[in-house]
Amino acid sequence: MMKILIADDDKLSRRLLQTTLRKAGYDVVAVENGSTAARLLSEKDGPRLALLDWIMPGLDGPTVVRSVRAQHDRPYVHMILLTSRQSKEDIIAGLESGADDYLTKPFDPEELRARLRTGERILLLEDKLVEAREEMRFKATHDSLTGLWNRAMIMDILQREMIRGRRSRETGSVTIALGDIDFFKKINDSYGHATGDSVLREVGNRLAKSVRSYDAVARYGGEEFLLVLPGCKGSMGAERAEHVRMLIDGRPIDSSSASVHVSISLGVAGTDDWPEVNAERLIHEADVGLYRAKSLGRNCVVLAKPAGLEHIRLPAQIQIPAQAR
Amino acid sequence: MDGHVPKPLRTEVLRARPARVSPDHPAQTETDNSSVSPRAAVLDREELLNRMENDESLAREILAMFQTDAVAYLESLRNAVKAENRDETRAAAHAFKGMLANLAAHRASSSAAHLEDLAKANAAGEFAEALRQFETELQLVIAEVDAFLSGVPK
Repeated sequence: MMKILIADDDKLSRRLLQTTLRKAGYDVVAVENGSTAARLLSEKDGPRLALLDWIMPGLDGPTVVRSVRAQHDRPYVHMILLTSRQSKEDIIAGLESGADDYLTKPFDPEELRARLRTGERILLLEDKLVEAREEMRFKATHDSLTGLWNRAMIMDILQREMIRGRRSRETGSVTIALGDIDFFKKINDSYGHATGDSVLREVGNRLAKSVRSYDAVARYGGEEFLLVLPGCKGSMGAERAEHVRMLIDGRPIDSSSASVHVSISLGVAGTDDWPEVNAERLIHEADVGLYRAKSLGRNCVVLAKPAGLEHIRLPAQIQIPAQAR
Repeated sequence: MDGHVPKPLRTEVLRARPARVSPDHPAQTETDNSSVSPRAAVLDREELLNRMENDESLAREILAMFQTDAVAYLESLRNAVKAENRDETRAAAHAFKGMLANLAAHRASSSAAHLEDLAKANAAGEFAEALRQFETELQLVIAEVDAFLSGVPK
């Protein structure tokens, strides 16, 4: 049931509107002054249709409209001013305050309902637009297959985190891990693209689950993934990358047609080792590490440092127990 | 529900407390009040019921509400006029205008609108006479409302 707010200081008028609108199937909230109306219309899940009397003690109709319109983070409210005035200037002033429509009093019930139906159509259109905009925003920043951030977005995130990190030297290290699924082309060739997609999705899932809320995970390219780990030094990032490697290696991925064993190689680089580089260069260093991990036989992690590359192996006591794999 | 309607306001109440007309401002002729058409119905029952979508119990409820509220509204209008308070006169006249328009009591509504206009124009000297005219119209409405509520056919 659509919620509607009526604000009118005249009790009689309020009662009439209330009865007419209830009969028309609305969930009616009736108030007697403008300030209460403005407060209710600004609430989360407040009414999105409003009939506001023009002249009320305290806040008048146009003032209520202006105060509601000033809040940009709320869904659109369709507001109709009720007026006994009929002069042109008043109507213009009312509509310019941000009202959608006006209705002269005493109202005609049929006209009232028709105007409200118009309002509902506009709200529906508004909802569809917002939904489409949100969908576009999601698509512009996310990878459609895995739902992870896309390459453009993770570059933004990485640059932002590196700038933020420079401001606080103590905790400011940012480490990245660039991962590439081993022999992905073979998976695609042997099991088909549907299984290949399932593998990408599941690897994405496992990566997303392995990180903290302030970390970011993206699908960086075809079968490449990038983890951005703020507040984390290179050596710690490499250990976390090793965890990720074990999460992928530890349990086969089930697709509708096959159960596939998958592994991932990762190259890691941290700003504590590379303090002066930009985001592209940091990724390049991680990529050098990744390349080495591949040449070492894959399914391993290599930390890139200016002094050289370190092949990471976790100490036995912090390896993931088999039953958790 | 029909037949169980409180009627706190009677025409006698109004007669008992007439508006004070200042001797400095003698009653004006009816033609001055051009917004009031003497031909219009005091209470247009057909329009009233149309407005309520032929819901007679709603019409009764609204009329009874009017009978109750009119006392206090008239009291504040009289006080405002007596004090020659422009804003309060305007507000009280505006309230009456709206209420009466909802009842399809157009003559009295126009009369209230006239008083509201005078207040807007700050013509305090004309308040008392306009109030007297308005009270005359209001009495007629109240009599009609009484008749409606006690089931007297038009």
